[in-house]
Amino acid sequence: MTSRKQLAPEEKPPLLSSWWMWYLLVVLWLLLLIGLFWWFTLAFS
Amino acid sequence: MQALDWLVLTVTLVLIIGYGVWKSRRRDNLSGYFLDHQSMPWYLILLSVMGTQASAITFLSAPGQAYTDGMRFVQYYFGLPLAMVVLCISFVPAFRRLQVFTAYEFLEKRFDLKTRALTSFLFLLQRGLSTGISIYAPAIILSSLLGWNIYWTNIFIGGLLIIYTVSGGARSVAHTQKLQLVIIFAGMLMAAWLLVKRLPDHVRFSDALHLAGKLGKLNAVVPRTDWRDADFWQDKYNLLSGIIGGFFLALSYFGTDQSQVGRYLTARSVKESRLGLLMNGMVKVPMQFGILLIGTLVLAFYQFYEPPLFFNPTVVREINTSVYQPEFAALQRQYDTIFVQKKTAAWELIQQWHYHRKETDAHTFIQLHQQAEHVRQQAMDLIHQAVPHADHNDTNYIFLYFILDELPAGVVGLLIAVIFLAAWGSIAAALNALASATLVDVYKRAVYTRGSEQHYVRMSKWFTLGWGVFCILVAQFANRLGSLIEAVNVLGSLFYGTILGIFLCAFYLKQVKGTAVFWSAILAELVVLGLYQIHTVSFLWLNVVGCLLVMGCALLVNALFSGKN
Repeated sequence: MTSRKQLAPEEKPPLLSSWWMWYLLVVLWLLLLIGLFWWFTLAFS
Repeated sequence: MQALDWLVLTVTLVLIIGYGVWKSRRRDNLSGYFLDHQSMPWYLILLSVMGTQASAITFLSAPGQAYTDGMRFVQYYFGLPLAMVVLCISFVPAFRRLQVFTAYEFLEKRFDLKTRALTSFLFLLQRGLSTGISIYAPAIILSSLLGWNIYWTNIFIGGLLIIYTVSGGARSVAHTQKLQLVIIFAGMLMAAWLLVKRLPDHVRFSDALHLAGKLGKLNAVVPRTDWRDADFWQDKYNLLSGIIGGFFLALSYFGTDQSQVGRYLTARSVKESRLGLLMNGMVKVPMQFGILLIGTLVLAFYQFYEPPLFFNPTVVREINTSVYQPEFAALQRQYDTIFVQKKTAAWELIQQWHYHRKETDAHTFIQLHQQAEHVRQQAMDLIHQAVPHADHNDTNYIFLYFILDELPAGVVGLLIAVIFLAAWGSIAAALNALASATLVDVYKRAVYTRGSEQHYVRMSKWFTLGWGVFCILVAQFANRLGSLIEAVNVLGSLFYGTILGIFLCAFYLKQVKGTAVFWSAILAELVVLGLYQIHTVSFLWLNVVGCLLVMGCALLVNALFSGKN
């Protein structure tokens, strides 16, 4: 996969060291949103 | 609409058309027309992908959906970020490596011509029909509320964008989407701000949220686990169906629908495509949450200002001239009485929250709201009897009714323009995709294989125009589809699962051959259509069923045939 191969300079991800870190970030962001929405549901029910 | 509204609307639309035509001034070959020479940065990919997905229905129907059904619709988007990750891992590098124009071209390289042809056919059928609904959806609402002729409204919504889509191809589509989204977000933010400002004095933003919450409308997460219960599988929006069903639907839509694939194929590299898609995964859920929140604020607003019994005034006019008028008037009186009591109950609740700062009993308020909803349901049933041809579901009319009735001149024009622009963004991308699939998968592959680049570009423009006319014709015949945002998603779910199954076989089941996939896809499509007919499961699950069925059957058929060999 992407992280194991030598990436061409123009294909390297910005800010983070590998694309897998980006994917993890997106998943964590989703979990955070679900958590916040769950709190929102409870707080105003 | 006042003169100022017409001015704002006209200037905004002319600006977009002019910008689109200006962007199309360069002469192009086929790569330029459909892929803009693969030159786009990630932020244009992000805006283009978002602009393609967010149609007029998103901004009209979603607030109404929250008004009537609460915010649980947001869960439908929970699978989207996960789908973006899978796309970045498998789909994007594969499409880029093979330098394809359409997603279906990839299938011939991996399987065979018949699998490519079948998938492309399913796409053209599904996308052609749903684009027609995307034109009809805002047209019917605008025509009902503003008294415009529905046929001309369809032609204006579906026709004007053809000018720049035909001439400029993918470049015009992406650049106009950028400008459209800026105007759309500005308009929606202004609507939300004015809505909060229009709440009565002493009613704070948090009070409005509490009121909507007491009515069960802030149900953004519904974690159901009773999967043994048959009702669970028919429940449209809960956490599990949102994550799993939403994941499959988003993966199908973004990974196999040419209207989306065509957007990120225009990126200048795999990195730019990935960044655009991942950012979409991070932005889409909060954006949808915000749009739904506007719907719940409209509900809170109408606790203090009486809403109409039914939000579609054209239908109300029709029933008032029919023999059912006395019954409707009786329901209206009942509704008026309940509203006065409910308003008092809402004020009392707010007083208690302000002065006692304690958890209060909202029983009376909730009960009165249920009574009001019951009367509304009776009115809808009556409308169903009295005006059988009319849509007796007014979900799609709620937000625009509020805009026209409550917001100041100028802002109304801007928000009508927002509806046009949102429609244009998604329709333009769809027409571009329909034309590219027709040209690359059908015309260039099977009809006329030895044409020059100029000939193919010329034909692409004709196909774009032809599909535009076809979609407008579909719009002229569309009617009575309930919540239109759901209608589009249901239509997609009937085909997306099968198409996704074919692509997942291509990516992950290396041993499976084309014939096995082809027949499995036909079987899966028949099963999905059958399941939809007998209403066994909610539409989101159809994506899962279709996809898994294609993969399972393909594996089985492949094993049987390879065993024989």
